[in-house]
Amino acid sequence: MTMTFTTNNTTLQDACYELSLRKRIPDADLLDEFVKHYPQFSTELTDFAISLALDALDPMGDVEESIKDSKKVTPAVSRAMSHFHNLLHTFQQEKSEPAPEVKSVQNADKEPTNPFKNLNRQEFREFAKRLNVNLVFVTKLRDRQIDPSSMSNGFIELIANDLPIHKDVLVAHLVGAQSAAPIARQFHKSDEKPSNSQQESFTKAVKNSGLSDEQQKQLLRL
Amino acid sequence: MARILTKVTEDGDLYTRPRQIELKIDAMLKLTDKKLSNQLDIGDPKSTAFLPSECLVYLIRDALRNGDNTKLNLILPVLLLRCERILIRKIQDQRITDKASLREDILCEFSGLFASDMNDKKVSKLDIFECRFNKAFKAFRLDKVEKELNRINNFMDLPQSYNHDNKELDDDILQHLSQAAKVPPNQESVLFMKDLLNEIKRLPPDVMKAVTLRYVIGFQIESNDPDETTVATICGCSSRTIRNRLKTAKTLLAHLMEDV
Repeated sequence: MTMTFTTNNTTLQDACYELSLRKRIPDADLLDEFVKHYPQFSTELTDFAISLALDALDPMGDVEESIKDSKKVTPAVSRAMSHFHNLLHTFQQEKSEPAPEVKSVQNADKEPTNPFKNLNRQEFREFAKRLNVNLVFVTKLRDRQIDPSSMSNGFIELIANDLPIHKDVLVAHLVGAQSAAPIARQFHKSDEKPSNSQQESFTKAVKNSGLSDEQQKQLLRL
Repeated sequence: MARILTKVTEDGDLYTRPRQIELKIDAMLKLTDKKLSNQLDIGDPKSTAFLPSECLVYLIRDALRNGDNTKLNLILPVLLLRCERILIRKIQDQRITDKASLREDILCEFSGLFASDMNDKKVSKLDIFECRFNKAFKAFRLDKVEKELNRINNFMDLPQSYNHDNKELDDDILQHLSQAAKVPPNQESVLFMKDLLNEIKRLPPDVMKAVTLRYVIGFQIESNDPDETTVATICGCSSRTIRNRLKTAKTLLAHLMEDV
């Protein structure tokens, strides 16, 4: 089953939304109607109708559940907020004048190269998969929430080889000021600025990131 | 008064919000941040003071247009939390091992729609979320889940073939699906239905497709009318192949009948 639902393919997206609005479970007549209306998307619409139909059969249904603490910010919500702000900032930057060349050079002098900067979300996920760890752990790594002095050489080499960058560049990034990294601001309830004192040791980070026993052993063996 | 939506349906009509959503939005626009915050605390959808997600989408977009970061940071997390709860409840497919990452990806992409909303004036992707939020979010979610399943399927072993020659099979197990498509299951059959759906999602993709098209969506397996769309024409194979796939499904699902 293949379904592309990208911004370049608005018509398919519209068709899928419309199909989902028309009936709880699409029937043969409805799907036939849509496929005739959008013959170029016949396969995608059929696949979508199948997903829609099976989802609608779920006895748990679409009933909205009551939320006790409706303003609770969970880690996933916090990261989605962070993603939103980053994206919004990027779009706003694109609209405004490009920053002078000198400024970026000055910043480069002050801030060590961030080896994770050029990874998009998909690449970041793949990076986690290659390491056989979860996103929580690699996010801690990226956001300098793990004390680099507690990392084994084997682990640092593994990361450096995978990215691939020189070991020193990676270490320079990891020992950099934590506040420069996109940490989950919403969880910081203190009046003081976040500092490196919140860093976990490598062992603690391995244990507190929801990794399986096997994944933990693999990392601690490095 | 709530701003008019700009997205049009396939018939060329403008999308419109339900009347009660329009009324709620108008009322919310008059509230101070403090009162709005209090109203956002209400998490029970049955309460008359509960703010439907359609309203939240409107208010977030409104805050973005006005550069009102206070309101934006007040409302967006509430909507995202509701979405996360939906994702936790609905993403149960056992083939997806890292459900938390998938949920997070979907939430991030959804939050990204708001960020790009101001940037992309031609396409009002979020208009539909102001009309029927749950249905629109379902379509959004299903697309992402489907992509993840495609990725997983690429790494799965090919299913073994089944010999049906000596097996006597009945339609009962799959008729449950047809029945559930017409009438929502009662309390007694909810657990069975949940198990059945889980098993169906684990069938080989071509088998699952044939089962759903035949028993849930309701296409005929074949037809004498060459213009009629059937399961066989959709799947691009013979009716015999489709029957074999349905038999495979019945064989693989037969163990569920023992519990009925």
